Amino acid sequence: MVIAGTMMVGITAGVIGSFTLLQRKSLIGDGVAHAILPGVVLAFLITGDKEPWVLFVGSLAAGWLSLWTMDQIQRRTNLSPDTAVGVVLSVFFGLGVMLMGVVQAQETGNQSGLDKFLFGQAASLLLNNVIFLSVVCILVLGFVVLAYKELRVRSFDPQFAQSLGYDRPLLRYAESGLLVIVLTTGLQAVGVILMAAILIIPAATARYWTDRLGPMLAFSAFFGAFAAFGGSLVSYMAPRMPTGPWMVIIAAGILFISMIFAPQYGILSIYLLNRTQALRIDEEHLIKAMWLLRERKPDQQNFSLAEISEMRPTDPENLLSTIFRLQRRGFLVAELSRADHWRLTKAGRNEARRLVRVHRLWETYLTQLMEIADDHVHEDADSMEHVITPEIEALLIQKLGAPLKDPHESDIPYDEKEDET
Amino acid sequence: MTMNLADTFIDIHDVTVAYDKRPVLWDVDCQLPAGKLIAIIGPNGAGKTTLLKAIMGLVPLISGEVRIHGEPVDRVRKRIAYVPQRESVDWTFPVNVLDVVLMGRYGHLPLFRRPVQLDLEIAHQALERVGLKDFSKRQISQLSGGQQQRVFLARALAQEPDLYLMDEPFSGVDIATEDKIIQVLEQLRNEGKTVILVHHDLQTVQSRFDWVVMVNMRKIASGPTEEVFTSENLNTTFGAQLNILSKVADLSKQSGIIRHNRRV
Repeated sequence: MVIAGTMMVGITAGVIGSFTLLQRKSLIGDGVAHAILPGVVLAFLITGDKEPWVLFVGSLAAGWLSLWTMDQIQRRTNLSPDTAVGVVLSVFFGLGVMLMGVVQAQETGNQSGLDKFLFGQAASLLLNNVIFLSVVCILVLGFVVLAYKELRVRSFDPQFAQSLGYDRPLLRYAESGLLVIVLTTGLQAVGVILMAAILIIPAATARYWTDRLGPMLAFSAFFGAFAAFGGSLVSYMAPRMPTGPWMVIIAAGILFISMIFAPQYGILSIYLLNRTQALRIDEEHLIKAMWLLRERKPDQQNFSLAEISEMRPTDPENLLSTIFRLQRRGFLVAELSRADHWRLTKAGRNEARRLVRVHRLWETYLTQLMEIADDHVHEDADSMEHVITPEIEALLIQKLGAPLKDPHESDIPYDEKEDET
Repeated sequence: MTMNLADTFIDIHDVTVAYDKRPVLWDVDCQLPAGKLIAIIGPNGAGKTTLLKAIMGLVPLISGEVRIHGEPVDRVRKRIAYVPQRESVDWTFPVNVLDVVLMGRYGHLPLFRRPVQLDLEIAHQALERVGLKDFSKRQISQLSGGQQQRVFLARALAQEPDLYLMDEPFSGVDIATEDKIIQVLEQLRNEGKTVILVHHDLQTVQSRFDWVVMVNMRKIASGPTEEVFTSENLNTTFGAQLNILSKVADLSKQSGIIRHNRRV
C-alpha cells in the first residue's frame, strides 16, 4: 500500500519532470522543491496538525511564493536567472530549517516527525497520506492527459503557443501549479532535498530511449515508478534507511546504464557507429589503392601485399583484416596461383571506379570553381570521397561538364562498359 | 502612398513598444493592404521582429493599437499564422515533423481537444506543398536548416490563415528551400492571402515584394515597393542618424519612466 503510494509519486514526477526538463527548468524545479520546506513547517506550527491536506496547503503556498519571488528577482533586478534560483533556494530552505528548530524547541519530547521531510521516509506514510497522495497524483495525470497538446506546444515553441492564445493565465498557472503540486506530493516519501532529482533523472533517462514526447512520458513514468518501488522497498525492509536517497541512487543507476547502452544516443552505440565508419573508410582506401595500382601497371591484374601497402601505407595487421573484409564483401579475390596476391572483382572495380571518380571530381571542383590551389586539394578529397552521395556527384558532373582529367592530369573514370574481363 | 481606408487590412496606429523600459519602436503608424507580399526591412536592432510581434499581439504595447480588418488581434487569432525565427526553438525536442505541422491545427481545436483525421489530412497536404511529403516521420533534429524552415512554413499552411507573419524565413536556408518558400508565398498571394515577413536581403526586395515597410526604431516608409524602395529611404533607414533617438531610449531605461499600459 505504502509502496503503491510512492510509486504514484514516481510516475507523476516522471511525467511532469519530462516537461520541466524540456522547458529547461530543471534548476527552477530544484529551487521550488527546497523552498517548500518552510511552508510545511509553518503550516504545522500554525495548526499543530499533521493532516496531509494542511501540510499540502502550506507547501503549495511556499512553492508558489518561491516561483513568484524568482520571477520578480529576474524582472526587477540585474541578477541572472540562475542567481535568482540560487538565492531563493537557499533562503527558503534556510528559513525552513530554522523553523524546524523552533518546532523542536517547542515540542519537547514530541515526535513531530518533521525531520522526515528532509530525506523522506516511505515507511512513515499512513493510510490517509497514501489515499491523499494518490488522489492528487491522479488529478495531475488527468490534467496532463487533457492538456497534452497545450503542454506540448508550449514546451516546444512558446512564441507560437502564445500566438495561438495559449498564454492565458489559466494555462500558465496550471503549468507552474503542476510543478509545485508534484514536488509537494514527494514531501514525505522522498523529502525536499532530493525531490528535484526524482523529477529530472527519470526524464533525462527517458530521453535516451525515444524521440517522441508520448513515449518519453511513458518511459519517464516507468523509470520514476521503478526507482520509487526500489527505494521504498529498501526503506520498508530496513526502516532506518531513508527512502529519497535510495530512490535517487536507483534512478541514477538506470540513467547511467542508459547513457552507455541506449540505442542511437548511448556511448556504446556511438562508439560502434564510429568504428564501423572507420572500418569502411579503410576498405574504401584499399580498393582505391588497388585501382591506382592498375592505372600504374595496366598489364597487371594481381597485386602483392607489398605493392598494396606501398600504395597505401598502413600496419600489416590492419591491411590483412581490411583485405579479408573486402573478400567477404566480394570486392576482392585472392589469386590462387600466387600466394598473397589479390585482384579486384567486377563489383570491386565498379566501387573503386566510383571512389576514384568522386575523388577526382571533387579535386576538380575545388580547383576550378572554388579557386583552391591544386596542391591543397588531395587531402580534402581523400576524406570527402567517403561522404559524397550520388546526388552530389551528379551535381558535380553537371557543374563541371563531365571533365575527363582532374587537376593532376589523371583520368576521371566514368564508363563501366570498357571494363570487361 | 495614402490608401483608401476600405483597402486597409492591417491598421497599425501609433504603436510604441519597449523592452525592459527601453523603447525599440516609436509611434509607428502604418496601414497595410490585403493580398500582398510585404517585407519589413531595416538594420539589426531596428525593431523589425518587434513590429511583427506587435501585429500578432505578442509584446505589450506602451501606446497605440493594432487592428486587423477593424478587429483587435484577439478576435482574429485563428486567421493569422505566426512563424517565429527558426533559432527560437529547440530542434532536439522529441517530436517528429508531422507532430510539428499538426500544431498548426491546434488553434482550430477547442482547448483540451485532440486533432482528428481531417487535421491529419490538412497537415499532410501542407507537407506536400513545401516538398517534404516523405519526411513526416522524421525526427526534427535530423533536418537541415532549410528543411526546418519548410516545416515551419508547413505548420503555418496547416493553420489555413488569411494572414502570414513570418520572422526571417530565408535566414540560413539553402537555395532549393528559398525557391520553394518564395514559390509557396507567391501562390498564397495569388490566392488572396497576405504575407508579411521580416527580411534582411535587400537585393531580393524589388523582385519579390509588392510592398515594403522600412523601419529603424520608427517607421521610415511604407508603400508599394516601386514607390518607397528608393535610395533616399534606404539611406535614412540604414544610415547612422539615429543617435538622438537611441540616446533618449537609453535615458528612458535608466529613469524607468515607462509604465506598460497593458500586459499581453
